[in-house]
Amino acid sequence: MVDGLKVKRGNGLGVRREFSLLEKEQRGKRERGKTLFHKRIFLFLFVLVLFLLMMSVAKARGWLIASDGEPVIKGNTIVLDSLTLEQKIGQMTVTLWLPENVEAFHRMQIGGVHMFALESEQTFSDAITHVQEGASIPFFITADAEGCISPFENIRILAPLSSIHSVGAAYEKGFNDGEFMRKMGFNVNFAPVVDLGDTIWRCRTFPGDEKQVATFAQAYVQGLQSQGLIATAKHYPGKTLIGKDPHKFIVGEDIDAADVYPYVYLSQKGDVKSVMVSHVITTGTADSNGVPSVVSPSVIADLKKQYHGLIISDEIHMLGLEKFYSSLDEMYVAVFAAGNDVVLNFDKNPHELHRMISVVAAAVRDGRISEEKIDVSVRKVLGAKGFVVE
Amino acid sequence: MVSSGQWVVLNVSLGVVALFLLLYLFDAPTAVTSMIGKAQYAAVTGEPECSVRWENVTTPVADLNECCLGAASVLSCSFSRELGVYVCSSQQEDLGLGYVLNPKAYSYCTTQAYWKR
Repeated sequence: MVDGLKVKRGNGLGVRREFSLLEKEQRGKRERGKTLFHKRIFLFLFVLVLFLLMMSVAKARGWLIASDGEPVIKGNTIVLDSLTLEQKIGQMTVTLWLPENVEAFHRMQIGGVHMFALESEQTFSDAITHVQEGASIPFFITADAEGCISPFENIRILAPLSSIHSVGAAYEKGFNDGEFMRKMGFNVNFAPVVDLGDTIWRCRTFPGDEKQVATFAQAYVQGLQSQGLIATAKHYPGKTLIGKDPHKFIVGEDIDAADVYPYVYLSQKGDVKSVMVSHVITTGTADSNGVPSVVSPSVIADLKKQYHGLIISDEIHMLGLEKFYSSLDEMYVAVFAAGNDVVLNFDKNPHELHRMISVVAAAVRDGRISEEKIDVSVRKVLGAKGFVVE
Repeated sequence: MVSSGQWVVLNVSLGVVALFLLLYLFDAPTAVTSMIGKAQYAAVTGEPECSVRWENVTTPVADLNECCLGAASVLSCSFSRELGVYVCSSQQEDLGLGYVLNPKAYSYCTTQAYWKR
């Protein structure tokens, strides 16, 4: 006997046959072992893929962004402290409308959405209805419907501001633009531009000197706001539409009394409900101390001395701001810390918006931004939305 | 009866799917897309140039970021082989406001966080 194998003496063929059978049996055992191993791996991977698929769908739908619950609202009175800090910062944020992100926006209590061009009035109406449906705090629905710049260009031509030559025409334009936008569901128009002079687009500003620009702007604001929209005078403190040397990265502008006159005039009249702050570095009458105006606490503080409505940042990604800061996080904190009431962040990734909110909330909690400042801004935002804030 | 080889193929395929899903969950596609976008931008030669067209007059826009935001806000962009540029506007037939970007500028715009085309 050799290893339990009967060895038949004198018959070599028989021995080979028996070895072969044994090998087959052992091979069979190995194969069955391998198959079992592969089956187990398959089962594990199958379950893993199912799980990851469910998580991916949840992420795509914004379900991974936790909701902090609903604020307390009785009639048109809202309890400020029923909003979490993150929800307050969310209310100070206006972002880009994308239909797949609406659910996430609701979860984060985002303050508003900005609309780019769409195909038709109906498309706009449907999109806005979808956004507002189920929102405990209505969204700002914003657009840049200035005239020559307009998301409605393929639907209706809006008169450019450069074509306005009388107070009556300015009021009529504001009224007509406002009526058209209100019917689709808009409630904020980032217009009128009150810069003095436009050498680039050649259509975005009213003609004339600062007094005429101010008078026309006031009439336009009255017309637009008579239709229930919030008008936005921009871009404080001025000189944003002047051709620049493309070879210079950092461009500063010297602001004089004429540039800020329209804002002084509009503030005194008390009608315009918001002002947008630009990204230009300025010296002179409005000195931004070497940083873009939108992140300059001194520029915004000076503006707040004369103007008490909403202060809105220009869109933060178009500003070259990133080049001033070593990280996006620093930039986010700077924009909120400067004193803006509303920050425009058109990042199409809702998770990045959520991250921005978390970063700013952390800055509030560790004292880099005062919570009182946040509360003041949120009160203004909610007030502009028609709430009485308790 | 599935052979051992077939099991291997099945399991490797499932493994690849699991890997892609994992990368998606950790925002790797965004990072990868961003890296690809930056690489594409670096690969395009020349300086970025953007202009705005109004009433048939074209004026350079020095602020590329502002140009990109304007181009992102209109309905569509199309490449003109004749001129070798991208024209972005909401209207056809050269009416209204339009943004004219050379390939370098267009490539830069596609790397922006708000670019949704």
